[in-house]
Amino acid sequence: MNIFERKIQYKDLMHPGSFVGATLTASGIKNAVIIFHGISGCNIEANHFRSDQIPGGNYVPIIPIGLNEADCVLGGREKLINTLRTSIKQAISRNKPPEIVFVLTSDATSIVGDDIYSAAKLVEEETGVKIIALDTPGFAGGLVHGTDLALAELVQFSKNRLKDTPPCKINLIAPHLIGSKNWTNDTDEIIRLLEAAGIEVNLNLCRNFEMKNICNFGEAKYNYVLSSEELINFEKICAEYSSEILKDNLPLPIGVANTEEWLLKISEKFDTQEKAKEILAKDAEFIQKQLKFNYNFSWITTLMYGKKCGLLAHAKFGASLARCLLWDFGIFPKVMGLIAETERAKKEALELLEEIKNQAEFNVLINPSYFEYGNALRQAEVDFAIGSIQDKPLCLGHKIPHLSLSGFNFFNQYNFIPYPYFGIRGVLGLLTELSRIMEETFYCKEI
Amino acid sequence: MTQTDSKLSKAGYKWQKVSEMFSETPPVTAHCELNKKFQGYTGLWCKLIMAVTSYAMTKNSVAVIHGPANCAWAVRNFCSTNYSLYYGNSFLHMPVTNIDQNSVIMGGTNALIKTLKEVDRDYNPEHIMVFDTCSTALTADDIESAINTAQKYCYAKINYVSSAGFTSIPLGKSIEEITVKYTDIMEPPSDILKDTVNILGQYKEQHRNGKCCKNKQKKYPDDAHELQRMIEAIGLKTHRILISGNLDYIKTAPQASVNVISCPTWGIPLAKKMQEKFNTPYLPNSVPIGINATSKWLCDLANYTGKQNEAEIFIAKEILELKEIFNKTKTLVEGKAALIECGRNSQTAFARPMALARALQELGMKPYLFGLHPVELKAKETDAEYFLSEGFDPMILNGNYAFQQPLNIAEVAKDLNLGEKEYIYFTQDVFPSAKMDSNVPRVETGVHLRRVINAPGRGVGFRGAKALYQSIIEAVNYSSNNSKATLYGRVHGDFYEYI
Repeated sequence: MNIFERKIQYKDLMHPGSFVGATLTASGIKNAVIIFHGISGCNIEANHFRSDQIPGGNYVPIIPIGLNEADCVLGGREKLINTLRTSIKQAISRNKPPEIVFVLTSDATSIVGDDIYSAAKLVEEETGVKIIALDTPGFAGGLVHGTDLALAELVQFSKNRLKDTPPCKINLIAPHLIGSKNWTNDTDEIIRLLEAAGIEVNLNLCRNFEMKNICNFGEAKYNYVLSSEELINFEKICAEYSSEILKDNLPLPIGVANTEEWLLKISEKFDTQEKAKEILAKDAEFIQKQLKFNYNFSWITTLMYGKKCGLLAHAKFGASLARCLLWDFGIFPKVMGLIAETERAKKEALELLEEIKNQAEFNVLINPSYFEYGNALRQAEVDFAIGSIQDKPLCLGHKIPHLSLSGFNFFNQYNFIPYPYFGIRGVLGLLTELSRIMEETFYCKEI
Repeated sequence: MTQTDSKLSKAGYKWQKVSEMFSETPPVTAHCELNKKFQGYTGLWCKLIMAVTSYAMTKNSVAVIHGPANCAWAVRNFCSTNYSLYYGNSFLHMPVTNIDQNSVIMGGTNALIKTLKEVDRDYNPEHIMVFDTCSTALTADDIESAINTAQKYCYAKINYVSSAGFTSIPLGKSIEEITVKYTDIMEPPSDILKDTVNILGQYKEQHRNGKCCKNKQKKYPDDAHELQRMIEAIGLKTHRILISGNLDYIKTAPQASVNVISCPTWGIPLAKKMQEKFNTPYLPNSVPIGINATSKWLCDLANYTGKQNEAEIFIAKEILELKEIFNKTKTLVEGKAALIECGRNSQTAFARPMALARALQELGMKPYLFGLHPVELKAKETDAEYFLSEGFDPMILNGNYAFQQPLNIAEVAKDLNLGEKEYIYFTQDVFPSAKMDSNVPRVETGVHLRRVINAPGRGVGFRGAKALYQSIIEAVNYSSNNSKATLYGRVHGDFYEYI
């Protein structure tokens, strides 16, 4: 395992800004409204990523305040107040007042320094609707930063921590950061597996989340930050509430081997291993029923065995997927571009890869530029690459077939069947996707 | 014409001529007035996104974005998908100077200089275009000086497009300011090449020094292919298709005898600037959709270059081939209304809907444009001037388009007192209006979503006309013989529309 991390000024990789993280968090709350105090380009970016929460979830409106050039120089606080008032009053007149309203800034408005906090307070007092104002410019940080700010504010609505914490509850934190294009269905599978193993998911912050439940936040034994990214503010508040962060470095449950390790380790924390083993056995039986003596399965898995691939993904997702490809399918990940915003995510991903370093030779590029990653793929002579739709043209430019598995749902996932790629059952979803790339890689097109 | 009891009418919407709506709308710089009149008008993309994507068709080039990492990602998000995968453009590398909170306070020119040197070393491009962002514009980084400093150490030629997202929010205005910057790359011509023509105003489509990817060239051509076919059919040569190609391709564009226009928004300001800087003449005819507009586009070029005879023979032959389908379409739609939406979600499209309206009028239809935000019309002064100078001034729906929410097609039809069989709905882009209980003929006109074999994307030229007529016939037949709602119509329901 060779690790490369260059220290250069420029960056060219997937890096949605702080307001996208806040948007993805806020849009996972039922009956929330987002007032976007930023310019049009940032607004449309937030709109696009908001759509990740829509399939099987809910539609949270993002209302732009309509900033123009003058507002960005002279300030747009009055427009913000008017938009807040109008939006909330209209919702009240339709007997559907929002449970919570978020005000998010982007770069220009943040630099100008509009006082969004006093505007929010003013309208909150007028209307009685909770308003959270967050300063979320792109220059302040990325997805993790925005997510962290939003979660830290939300958790403060939970005043009560129960003294007698029930032992078998867990909070899932920031599922949208796990790096899978299928993250909503994958999170559902995580919940199904945990609950089948006797571990109740107390809150999922934030996916189909109801604000009224925030008061139950402290009832969980652990807060499980799925991506391993460090949420500095959120975790600080958790510490103040004596609400523990799950510190074990767990792989994401991608594929059979990862899922077994993941569920058995978590269940050990709750002393529910027997139940975990039961669901693992049941799911293994389910996929066996589908695949045993199956000619097509044998054909395609034999075809993919021993092939070489590259992958570009969020650190924990990428490391877990690399293990899955190697252990479950015999595919060699030769080049891994791992994207991490915080040191913890990077460190944990590298630790996970330690377990396969003696089984395969591979290069790990930490937060590489697309240019570096593309060159590394070409040099490694991979058969295909796994990433997100945004790096597909890079790979196609290098004449390398590409499969989108990482990134976000938006513009990236055209499988509309709500089925996971995580868990043992999710192997069937992964196989379907991997079969597509086998066809693309090995079918002759000039016939 | 308007039904006084309609929802649109009650909300203050009214049908006017394009010229009237243009005159009534305050200038795009009258921010206070616009604020009062158009609540929640926010624009579509930002200038940065338009500027960098205009550069996506170039080759051996790198876009350096001076700003936070998110800004590059915002562009990347659409550039990779729409611009590369749907149009065959190479992956555009867009390293960003990665401005953070410290740089926002202290300035980021050193970061820009360092980035330019690193990019020149690592990527080894022919050309670097620097784009600034909201953050670096508001902190007033001296970008020109930074470029001058870096240029001394770099092999690549470096240019700069001012592109802060908060400036020039209306699309037409931002495009006008961006497109002229490409003349900074061009050089005065030493020779003018006889009988050569540049096509200006191509956006998104890739032309690798005159060629594009096989899929588009052979099966799904774009507008430039059709315009090029017509140019070459009358004995002229296409010199450059802009914006595309590498540094040398763009640099030598002023060697052409004349510039012709595809999209006026991108093309005319560039043509005017080339005329001013290099004395390159241009012909203003734009987006030639339909037989008459295409014939005029080609005849004017032929007249300018002395190719009248060749043009006459070619046009006659092409029209003869179209005669049957043209007549068939006309019989089917004559007297009906054409409800043309100007970008479902963007509310920014004007030139193409106008060109489409002109072609549909030729078929005997009565065109009505709607869903164009008045500020966006005002920002497309060049386009409006062109069409009005041609004497084309159709009806358009003026209103405040609060928060840029789209309109329900049923309400638009109701406002015009049109029954379901009396109009055809020309949509553009995602989320077209569709209901479970209606069966309106719908023709998709969005470039990336409307793909017809052997027909150019925007439907220009004779081949574009043929495909348009075919699509109309198919839409009318589908609708009139269909009693089943599409899945899309069933699912869509009342979601989304404001009125």
